[in-house]
Amino acid sequence: MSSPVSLIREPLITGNKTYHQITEDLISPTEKTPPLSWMLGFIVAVTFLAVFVFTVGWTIYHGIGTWNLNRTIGWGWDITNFVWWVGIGHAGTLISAILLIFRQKWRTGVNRAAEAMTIFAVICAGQFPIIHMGRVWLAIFIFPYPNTRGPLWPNFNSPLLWDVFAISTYFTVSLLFWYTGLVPDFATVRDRAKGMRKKVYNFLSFGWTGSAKHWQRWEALSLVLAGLSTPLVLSVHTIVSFDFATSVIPGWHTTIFPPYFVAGAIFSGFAMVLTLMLTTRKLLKLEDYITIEHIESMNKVILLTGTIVGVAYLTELFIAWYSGYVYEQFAFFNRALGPYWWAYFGMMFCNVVSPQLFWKKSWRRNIWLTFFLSIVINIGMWFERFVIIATTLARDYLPSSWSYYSPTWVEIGIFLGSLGLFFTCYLIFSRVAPVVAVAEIKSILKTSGNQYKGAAHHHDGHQEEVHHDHH
Amino acid sequence: MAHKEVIFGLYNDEQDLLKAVKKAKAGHMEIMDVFSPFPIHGLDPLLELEESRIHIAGFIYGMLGTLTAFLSMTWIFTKDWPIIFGGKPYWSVPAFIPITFELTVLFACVGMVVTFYIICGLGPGVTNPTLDDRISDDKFCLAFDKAYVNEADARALFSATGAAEVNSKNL
Amino acid sequence: MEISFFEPIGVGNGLHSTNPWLQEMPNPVDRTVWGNYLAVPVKFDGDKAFEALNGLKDGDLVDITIGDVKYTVPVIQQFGQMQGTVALALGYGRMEAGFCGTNVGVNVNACVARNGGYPQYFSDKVTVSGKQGKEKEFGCVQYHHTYGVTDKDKATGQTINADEAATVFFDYFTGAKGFQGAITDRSIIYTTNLADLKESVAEVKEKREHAQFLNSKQIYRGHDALYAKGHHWGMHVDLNACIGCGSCTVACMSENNVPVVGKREVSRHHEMAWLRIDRYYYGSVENPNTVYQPMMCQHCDNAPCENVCPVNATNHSSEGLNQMTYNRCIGTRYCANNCPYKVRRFNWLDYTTADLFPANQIKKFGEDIPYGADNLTRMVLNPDVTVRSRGVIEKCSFCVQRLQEGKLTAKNEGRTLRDADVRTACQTACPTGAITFGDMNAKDDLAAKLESPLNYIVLEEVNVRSSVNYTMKVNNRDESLEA
Repeated sequence: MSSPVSLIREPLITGNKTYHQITEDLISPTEKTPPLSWMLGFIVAVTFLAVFVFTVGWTIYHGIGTWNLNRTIGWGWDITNFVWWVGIGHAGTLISAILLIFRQKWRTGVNRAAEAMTIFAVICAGQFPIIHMGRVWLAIFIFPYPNTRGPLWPNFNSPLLWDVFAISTYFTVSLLFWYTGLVPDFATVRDRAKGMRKKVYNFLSFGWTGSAKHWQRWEALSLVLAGLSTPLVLSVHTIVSFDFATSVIPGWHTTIFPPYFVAGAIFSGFAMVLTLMLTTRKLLKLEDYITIEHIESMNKVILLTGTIVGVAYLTELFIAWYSGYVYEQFAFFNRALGPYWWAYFGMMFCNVVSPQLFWKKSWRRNIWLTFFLSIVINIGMWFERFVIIATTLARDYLPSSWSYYSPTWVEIGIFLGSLGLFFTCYLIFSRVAPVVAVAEIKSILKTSGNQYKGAAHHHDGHQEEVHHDHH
Repeated sequence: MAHKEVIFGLYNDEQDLLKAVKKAKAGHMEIMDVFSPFPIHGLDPLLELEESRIHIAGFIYGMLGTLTAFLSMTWIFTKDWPIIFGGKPYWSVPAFIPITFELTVLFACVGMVVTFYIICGLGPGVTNPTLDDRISDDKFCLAFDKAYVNEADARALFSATGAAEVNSKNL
Repeated sequence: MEISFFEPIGVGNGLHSTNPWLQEMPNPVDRTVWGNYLAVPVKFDGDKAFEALNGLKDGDLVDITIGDVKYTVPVIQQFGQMQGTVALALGYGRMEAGFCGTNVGVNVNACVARNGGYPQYFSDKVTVSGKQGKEKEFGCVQYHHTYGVTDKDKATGQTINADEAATVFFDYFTGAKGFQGAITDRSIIYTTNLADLKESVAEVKEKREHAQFLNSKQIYRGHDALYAKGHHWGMHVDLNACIGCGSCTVACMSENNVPVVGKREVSRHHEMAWLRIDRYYYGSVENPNTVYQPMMCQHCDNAPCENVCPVNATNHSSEGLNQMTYNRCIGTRYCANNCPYKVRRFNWLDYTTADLFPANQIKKFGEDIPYGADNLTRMVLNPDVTVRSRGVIEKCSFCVQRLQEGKLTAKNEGRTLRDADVRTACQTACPTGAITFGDMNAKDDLAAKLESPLNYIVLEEVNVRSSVNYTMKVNNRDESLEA
């Protein structure tokens, strides 16, 4: 209540909500039998998950040779998917951490779902570095553990090992951050539940009581975790970009990669948040909590990051030309006009051209256009990673080794299956936990609720009185 | 937990609760605790709660992570088993930075979260008794321990500050 | 239209089609394996594309009628082949040649007419159709055949680098061409004519000095002091001596238990050869020169593959060897991606019947033991070399087992090691002595070769510090006479 009510900003909560109404609206989806739409979605998601399990099993049983990678192109859809999923995950942390530090109130409507998205996206991402290994059953070799071989340690110089640390740290921290935010809301679910559900949610809520001291520590913890997550989220995609940037392959060996990857990650992540939130708000009837205001704010971030990404693409081309280094020049020439020109074109069109529509306010606030573009952008960002990985490898230093690559059904199945994994997790989440942070929404009700916006003058007076008395 | 007899008032609005807390403090009544569905800003100074030192703990955990990562890698690559990779020196410091950073963050975050749950007495399987189920919904609760506060004083305070309900409960 | 028949170097007249090593040894001219492919002539369209006979592309299936008989064969574009001619190898299509050689390719032996008892290795009663389909298993190990072939630009009339102009697949309707120098400015192949030798030597010297100047600007000092002591293994390959015969590749496969993977796998670029011979055409499109470049692991002292392995499966020995530890490898393929020479090979499937899972093992001839795992077939293996399992990377080891043997021989005889004690398999097999292996720290065979001013290091400016030197290709052809 310490921040003043702004008359300029649009309300973030509409429908004259009371605290109790907020609880009802946000908790009740966890208490009701899921609607038919959810059931159908879940069946589809689990079907795709089954495809994932089958294709991964097929790969492990028969070998990576069931993919179409070859002696020249050692990474294809696998690592493309990995980077894509990690990138998507970044928006959740950005919303929960960076926007918390910047005190952006609109984050409260979407942060819970966005953080969940982060966790599920990182789970999906984490699958790929493991299943792309030739000998998955020895994946434990990547961890530094004492052993009888010397002991033999992993190679701390390897960007892939940095990835192991970055992704596992990112996953752990995101999970803890998310869960700590969920604990008070699970307590709310617990206090409304009966019987077995009460026991389950009692376990999940860790015995939360809402004590003032707990809330104080909880807020302090959230703020410090946000402070740590901010550099963490930047470091994670930086390290992912090091997989390429520290190599010697022209087109990968690029110092622009860390900021460019981070911007791209936020870009694709926000697109995915929009895809999810537009669906969720419709199905769970959360229009009062995830308002057009929220959507417009996210579209502004998309416009900004999309443009940053566009500038990065052009900078890359300029630097390649300016370098005077034939390998670099050819690598970028080849991306745009070589055998994978269609992927480059797709990337440019989806990532740079399409978000420019959001310069127009009414289009930023158009739900259908937003939904459509959010999917276009995710396709474009997938293309970006494919362009970086496959086209670079396809034609590198020695013309004798130049090659071409298109996926087999197994690789396509694993990708589609990972979508199944993601949506299965998300759909379960949407029925088990409140998809909007209940406590946080309540805490902004009086500054951002529509009825208080109308009564702002009265409310301000009230505030001053309290503060005055305190002094 | 020691046996406690608690009298508590439930408020519908956090501003009423803040007034009640202020009044209780003015009357030197010892507040057992305040429970709310979300953090109430302006409450901590009224309750004279000390600022949380969890960030200091986080800093110490983080430094522990930094040292663990950097010293381990240094020892492994210079003493335990020096190996040549790609012409780099054994002690190739720039290559150690990413992992050092990640472990700093990991140690700080995990350490802080674990500390938070331990000092708050929370955790998987913990069941803390609650005064009223609606506290996590829309009620703001001010609680006094009857051992320290006269029940009549408490009731007077609650009615004076507009508590919606006044109840007693044994914890 | 005339067709020419020839006996390929691998299977000959069919005598060797039972030998998988020879089936999988790429033909030095067209780089194909496992079958005969119709070689069709190529010309430059004067703008930005190469055009082969009837608009055919590599791997298209065509119907070819020779005399009265119709065959369906895949095609390969052949630079330097005279317009109006095609060529097809004999010796394929045997119907009873064991597991390996049966029904590989097409038998055209019957088309070789006799004139007074003498076989006529050509026929002019031949017609070639357009594209009839696509070969599913196009077994060719090199898709880009040229290193800057030149021709006239039809718009300007100037001689341009046709190869580089043709690197564009889609020009966004701008008419953009590949830029000149895209391939020839690379430090992969240096060629010259005897008449221009002096200038070329000066040019290579300048380029190398520039590269070395750039390479001196690095933050790490490396391990030069360590490498100056004891052995530092290196190799020298003389491009002038190399005739591209492929003996070294077969010797390497036989020495190092490199698996033969078969036509389907080669068509997916899964060939395993540790040592390959890159063949490039340069000069005029119509009448090009050829250069063969044996390419194997360069045992770089700043090996990019070593840095990126997360599990420490590849690292550097104090003798300058880039070592692979197969049983530590988990198969991320990062090393292969980061290899500028693309010499690392991944075991995509179970090529050696050494798998944990039975999925990839083929039971043949009604036996219980999978094909390749029976005692007789196992006798082909070299007991000194590990057989690699599915999912690991492998590559040239500079025949480390032979190095070890040589060291032991010298030790037993109580003397220091000589270059003659250690010869790699490829070196012993080379009929022209193009490959010299030895200790770069010793004043021996290799050291003498390393002094040539024609020497260069492939991709020297990448600063991977390769241990393999190549010699500039010098020919003595007066091109002015042939224009």
